[in-house]
Amino acid sequence: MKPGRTAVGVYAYFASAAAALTDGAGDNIPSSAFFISDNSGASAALTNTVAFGAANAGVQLANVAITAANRTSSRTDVMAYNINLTGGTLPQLPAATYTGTLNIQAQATP
Amino acid sequence: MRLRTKLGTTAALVLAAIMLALPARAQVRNSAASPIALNAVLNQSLTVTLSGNAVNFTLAAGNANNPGSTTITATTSWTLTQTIGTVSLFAYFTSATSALTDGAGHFIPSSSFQLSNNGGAFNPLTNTVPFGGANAGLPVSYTLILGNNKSSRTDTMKFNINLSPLPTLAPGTYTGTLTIQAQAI
Repeated sequence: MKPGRTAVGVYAYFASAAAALTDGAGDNIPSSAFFISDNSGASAALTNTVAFGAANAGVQLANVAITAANRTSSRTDVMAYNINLTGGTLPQLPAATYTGTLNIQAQATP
Repeated sequence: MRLRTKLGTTAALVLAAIMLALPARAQVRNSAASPIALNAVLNQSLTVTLSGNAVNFTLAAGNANNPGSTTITATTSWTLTQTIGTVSLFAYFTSATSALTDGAGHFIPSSSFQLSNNGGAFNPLTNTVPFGGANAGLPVSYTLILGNNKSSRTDTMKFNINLSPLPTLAPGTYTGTLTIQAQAI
């Protein structure tokens, strides 16, 4: 990183909060039912508005402070996923194959 | 005067340099987005769980009312695709003529075996249903899915053996197997 950069954030997000995964027939799994545990930490639903993706469809996985000591560096995030079908109408979700795309993206600021 | 001009020029250059440098530092830098393809399969399932699996009868020759010793509750649970419209529950024997037998050539036919579901009327097992022998079954319940692609229902069944058509049935211990099975279509 050039001097002046103070942080690197890592984000996971969907393009839609309402339809993170879909069966293509109008049945959707929202991002609020999709959970990520980063590096064995607590699971968090993708319900935040982050730097990328749709509103309320993301989560920040990591925030690394940049100093003179780590302007050239890297980090590893091991993510575990879970889909929670207990909320709202999800217990009535029809049997089907649900697909979606989760994006992972980093941003250096400022 | 010349000194003031030089100082002014230097200050302007420094200011310009700062102005040029600031936007570069204020811009965030993004990596490329790395996609992860998600594929989640919610499989279909249809199960029937019975509250018990044995019913006894004390028979009186020629008597129409020989009730079973206990009721059996069937819990039908399903997770189905949207293309499924109904869930049906059936009771059946594998043979209409020998639903129960004493093993010595004497039979109680399925037409003498009656089932009452959820307090309804008793009906003999004389229908041909998707399972079992011809004329040896009975539709117990029929549920329209109507968006309840994942749900369940309970059916409490009472049983009776009507021996009025069989007044000369030989004394004996008659055994048989009634099967309960669900079908989603």
